[in-house]
Amino acid sequence: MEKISPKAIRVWRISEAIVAGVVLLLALGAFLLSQFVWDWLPWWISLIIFGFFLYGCIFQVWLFPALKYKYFRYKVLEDEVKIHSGIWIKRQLSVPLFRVQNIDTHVGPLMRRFGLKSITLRTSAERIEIPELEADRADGLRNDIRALINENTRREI
Amino acid sequence: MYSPEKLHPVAYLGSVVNGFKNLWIPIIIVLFNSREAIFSGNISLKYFLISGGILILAVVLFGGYDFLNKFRTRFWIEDGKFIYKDGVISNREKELDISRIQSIDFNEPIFHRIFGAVKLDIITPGEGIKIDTIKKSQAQSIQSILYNEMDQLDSAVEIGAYSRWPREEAPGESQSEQFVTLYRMTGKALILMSMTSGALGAFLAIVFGFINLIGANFLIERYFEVFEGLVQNIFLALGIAVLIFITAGYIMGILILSIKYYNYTLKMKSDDLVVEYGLLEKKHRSVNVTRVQNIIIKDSLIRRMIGYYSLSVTITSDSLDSEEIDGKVELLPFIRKKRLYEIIDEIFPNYHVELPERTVPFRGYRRYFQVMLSIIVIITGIVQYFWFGYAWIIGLAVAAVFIVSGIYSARNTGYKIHEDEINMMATGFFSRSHFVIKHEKVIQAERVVNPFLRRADLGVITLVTAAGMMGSSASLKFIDKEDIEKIWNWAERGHSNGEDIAESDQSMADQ
Repeated sequence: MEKISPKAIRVWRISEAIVAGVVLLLALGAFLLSQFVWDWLPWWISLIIFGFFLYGCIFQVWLFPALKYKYFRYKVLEDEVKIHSGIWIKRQLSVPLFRVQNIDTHVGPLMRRFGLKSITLRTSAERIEIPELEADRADGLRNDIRALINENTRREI
Repeated sequence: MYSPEKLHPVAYLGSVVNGFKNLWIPIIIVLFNSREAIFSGNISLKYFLISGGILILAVVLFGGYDFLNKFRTRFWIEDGKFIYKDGVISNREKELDISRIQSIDFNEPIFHRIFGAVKLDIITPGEGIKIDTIKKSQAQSIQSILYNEMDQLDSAVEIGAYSRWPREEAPGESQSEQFVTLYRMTGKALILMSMTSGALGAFLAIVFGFINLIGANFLIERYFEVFEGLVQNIFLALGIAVLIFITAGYIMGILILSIKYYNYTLKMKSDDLVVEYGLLEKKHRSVNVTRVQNIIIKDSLIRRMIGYYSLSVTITSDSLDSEEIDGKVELLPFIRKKRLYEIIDEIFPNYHVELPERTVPFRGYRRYFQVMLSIIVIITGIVQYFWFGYAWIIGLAVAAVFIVSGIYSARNTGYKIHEDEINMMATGFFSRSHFVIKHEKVIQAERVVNPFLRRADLGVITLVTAAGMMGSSASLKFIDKEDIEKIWNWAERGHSNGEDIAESDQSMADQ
């Protein structure tokens, strides 16, 4: 089983930190509003939002990215893709390659800075994502999967 | 059919109706706000003319576009393709490859039936076409031509050469095979089906929904008052009132369902299955057998006791136009078990249907109801403490029902693997769904464990097959780790094994 790029941890942390920062701003804004502008807004609303911020900092920024990285594994076999994931609830996924209809790659602004790329496999029922791979690894994987699919379909016909 | 055809003339009437339909909310708002003027009786002619004029203008504007669109709609068959064209400002042309069509359905709502028109729905794995109002004869000839072309294409592909359908031949004459009726529901079965389905629930939902909508709660109070006046004992009065209400609702529900499923027929012609039913609104659905993704046999506790089951299959389509987005087609809603298996053998000779063995170990039983149980306990506790002293009696009864249901589910969940097929019995609230899935139709397998389940060596496994937009998933909960391993290995066994595919005799064209 292969792991995704270790840089993923930092990417996830930064993006979650941005989200947490927005939440903190919201909390600040709510506090200022309740103190100085809108009398009807109770002050504890800002406290609740601050609670969300704390949750985000502890779990989403600090704990989850490392664990998510630690437990995410994938493997591309000749005829199927296997994905293991989940921190508390473990999910194991197996998708036959000949059912895959589309392979999309995705690069976010943050991911581009770190040279990462994610792959999405689309079957006719669901979409399966392999997140945060090294860019050339992602391209290579996509080509591999495409070649495997082509080979398989040719053999079946 | 090979030259462009138009819609049924009544479609234009339909566009007028649509014009009103789109406007009904503004109309109601206007009427409501001017209710005093209307009820006072002296509406000035000017007011009447102006409001009427605006209304007509709006209908013309809204309906007119639709009208023009319908006027410009054309459809025809050409070169192995079904082509549909419409559009007022920008032209839109859709082409469906006939070889990819997996079902051609038509419905006849009551409005359409009066004028001999139908709604046609053509579904492929990708897009679909929906034609609102066309003549029934047109629809039937489209259907027969498309089926014949499909047959032709199929045989052409088998031989290896690709030949076109000769256009000179009239389509009606060359129908080699006629539809064979496999099953026709008798009146008795229809009544039984309506009685054992959620007839009462449907009726109650409609009635209470309606009462809430119009805010007529006083009707209910009034209803109870009548009985309290008739019978001295207040509890007896309430009991009788509820009993009469439930009985009436039950009978109404039975009537509604009987009308809906009136004269249910399943027909077959070579590869295509056709389902027809309905008294007022006639429904007509068809399924190509080779496109079937999985088979589902469903039953509920009550139906199982009298020995009746239902059969559905799923097909796949991305079409958003279609009404049935989940891709599930009910072939037989209500049928005796023995007859069901005979028909399955006839329709799907390549499937091996057998009852799965029970596989849930005893340590898994409590997991079927523990979550629900704790929710019930919490709710009962809250209600008991704050509002109602006897809540625990109700809580106990509900808990008992859920425990029994959980045990029922646990005792019935199971699976059976037979070569390239798996029979899975998934369970719900006193109901069972028996999935039959071919190996090559499995899109995805998923297994889930959490630390508690891991300690007990249990797990949850889900197999997903394509169906409509979302996919149809069959999951077995809380079965032993070894069983999960078995299903997992079966599901992920390689696909390069050519024998399996040949044996299953299923077309790969739709993947």
